[in-house]
Formats: sequence, C-alpha cells, structure tokens
Amino acid sequence: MKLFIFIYFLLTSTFSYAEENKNDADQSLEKKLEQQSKITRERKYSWGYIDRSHSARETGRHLLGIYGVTWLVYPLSQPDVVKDRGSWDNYKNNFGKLVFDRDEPFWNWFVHPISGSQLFLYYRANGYDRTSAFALAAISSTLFEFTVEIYTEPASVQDLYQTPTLGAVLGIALENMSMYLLNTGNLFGRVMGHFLNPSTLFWFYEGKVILTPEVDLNKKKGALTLRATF
Amino acid sequence: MIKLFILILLPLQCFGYSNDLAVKSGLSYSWANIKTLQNRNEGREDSMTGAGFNTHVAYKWTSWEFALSSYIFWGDADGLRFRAQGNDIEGDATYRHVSFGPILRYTILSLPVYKNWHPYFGLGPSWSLQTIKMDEPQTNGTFNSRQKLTYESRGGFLVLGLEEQVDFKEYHPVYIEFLYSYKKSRNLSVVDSNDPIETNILSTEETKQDLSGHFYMISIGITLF
Repeated sequence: MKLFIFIYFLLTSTFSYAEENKNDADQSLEKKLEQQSKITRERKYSWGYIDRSHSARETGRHLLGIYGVTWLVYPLSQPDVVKDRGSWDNYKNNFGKLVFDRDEPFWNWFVHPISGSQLFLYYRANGYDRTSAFALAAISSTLFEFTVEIYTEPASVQDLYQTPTLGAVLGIALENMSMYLLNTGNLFGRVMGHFLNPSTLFWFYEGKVILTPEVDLNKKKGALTLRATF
Repeated sequence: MIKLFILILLPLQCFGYSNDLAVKSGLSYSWANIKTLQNRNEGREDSMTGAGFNTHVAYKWTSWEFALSSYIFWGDADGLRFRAQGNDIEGDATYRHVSFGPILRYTILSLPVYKNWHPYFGLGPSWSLQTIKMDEPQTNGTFNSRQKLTYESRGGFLVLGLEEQVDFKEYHPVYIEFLYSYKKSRNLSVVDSNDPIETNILSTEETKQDLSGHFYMISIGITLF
C-alpha cells in the first residue's frame, strides 16, 4: 500500500512538473511571439503576379475596355490640344497616315513610355504573362494611335514602337520595384508600391494573396496559409 | 532505340529557345562621321559620339530571327554646319538620334565562338530622325538657340553580333552587337522648342543628300522576357 501511494505520488508529481514545464514553455513561446511581433512587421498580404490563361472573349473584353477608356482619357488629359487642334476633318485626313513626329522629349521619353508601362501593368494585373501583356499593350496603343489620337494629329512611328516597347521595359522595372516595396510590409513601402504600380490598387489585380499565419501552441507547430481571391 | 533518339535530339538543346517572341534591351555607344551640304564641298566630315540604348521586339525561329529594332542615342558635336530656311547655320550642337527598322538576323548555330556564344548577322532598312540643337548658332538668318533642326533620314542597318544560346529565354541570354548604318536625309524641319510640351513646326523642306553619314554602334543587352 505504501508502495502504491509512493508510486502514485511520484507519478502525479512528475505529471504536474511536466504540466508546469509545458505551461512555462507555452508562456515563453507566447512571449517570444509577442516580442517578435513588436520588433518585426507582420504582413497581411503577399503581392505578386499569377500568370494564367485567358479566353479570347475575356481578352477581347479587356481590349475593348481599355479602348473605351482611351476615348475618355485623351480629351480629359489634353483638353486644350483636343479643343484647339481636334476636328473630324482632321480625323478623316489623318486616318491611315503615319509620320515621324517632332514632339518634344517630354512626350516621347516621358509620357508615352509611362503610358505604355501602365498599360503593360494593367494586363499583368489581370493575369497575363509578360509576353501577352506586351502584345496586348501594343494592340491597345496601336488602336489609340490609329483611331483616337488622329482626331488631333497623325499616328507616329515613335509612338507606335516606343509606347509598348519602352513601356514594357519600364513596366518590368516598375513591376519589380513595386512588388519589392509592397512586400516590405511598411506603410511607406505600400504607398510607394501602389504609386509606382496603381493597378495593384484595383479590384482586377489578381496577385494579392492573404497570408494567414497559424500557430498551434500545443503541438508547437506553425503554418502559413496562402489564399488568393479573384 | 528511344535512348538513341534522345541522344540525337540532345545536341539540339544548345540551339537555344525557338519559336518564341522576345523583348530585348541594352545600352549602346555610338560614333558617326557625317557630311553636310556645306562640308561636303570642302571634302571634310564631322564626327559625333554618343550613348544611348537599344530595344528589339524579336520573333525567333531556330536560326532565323525577325526583329523590329530601335537604336536611340544622345551626343554632342563641335562646329557643325547646316543649311535651313535658305541660311547657313554653324555651331556646337547636342543631338538626338532615333532609328527604327525591321532586321532579319541569322544565327550560325554550328559555330560556337565561346561556350554557348554563337555569331549572328543581320540586315534591314532603317528610318531615323536626327534632332540637332545648337547652343549658340552662328547664322545670317533668324535661326536661334530656341529652335532645333530635325532631319528625317532613310538608310540601312548591318549588324554583326554574338548571342548566348540558351534553352529558355527566361535565362535572359546576353548579346553583344556591332552595328553599321548608312543614312541619307530626306527632309528637314525647323521646330520651335520654346515650349517643352507644345510642338510647333516652323518649316519643312526637302533635303536630299543634305545630311548623310556612316553610323557605328557597339551595343550590349539582354533578353528581358
């Protein structure tokens, strides 16, 4: 009997010691996590690009949407030019014409490459791979040059080539830089990332992935759940 | 038998990616010897140097590649002489050169120069625009430093280069290229550059042979995607 009581006491004390140790370990892990969250930035999302295939109908819808937007943006962004130089007679005369423009560097080296880069990033945001995004940006800018801008001036060789090509080169730089900044997790990085790549702000951006960290304190296991919503 | 077939096919791997569209870009250094109407009579040439970049949108089969290419560079030159609006214009100038053209390239896959670097050559027509801006132009006319001359030229490209042949373009193969180009001007416009946003063409005239030159360029770049 004494032996039984001794064994029972030994076992319970061992278990309670283990329980205390476990509680201590849990508490220290919680403290560690708490401390860690104070010294590190917790990211809620992961930003990137998810390339996928698209149906011809979906691609057509994107091209049509962007084409409609150019009809709105052109007169709104350059009201004086459209008012002073634009006419339907000009439209008829310029239709099908292709020239070398004498535009100032502001247009050819700044406005057009930036427009092209944002077109490229729009298509990237919609899940197109880089080659497809470049091709679609080229189609969109060609449609703009030959059917919208001719209201004021004929299509130009520089714009046709440079808008999608320099746009894609600049677009890749902006894509990488913005992803880097967005994934830093800090406010400044996020603001700058969205500023460089505004398409990441809109509903159509497909690369925003929710990060859900899970920590099981009993099993001492951690997991990171990734969830993408479209 | 299958192993033998694979063994025969394996060397084809080093021929690089094929049947794919690629966008390439790189940096360039250029130099040129140009003749204007004025110095042609005196039998002299003006030389220019400049730096810039090149871009190519290229579709590659196996050995053949068709590229829409552009070479852009900026530079300066001393003591240039031109004729515009019936007046002689002379002075030190900064210039901008933009060339476009389709280039058909052929890569010699049976001749690796070093490791997986293979030589290629190509040629094609070129369309270009040279913009010349003078700091203090000497002229008996009304041309001034707030105006610029733009020459539209036509000519041709001849390229010789080396490019890495890799299985996938995602490995970003590198190319080094030498370009020779000859150009002749077709027309000249005098443009008012007072306003950096508004484009105001003051005059345009035909200038066949007024400006011609040999342009040389060394370029290095990579396949971006």
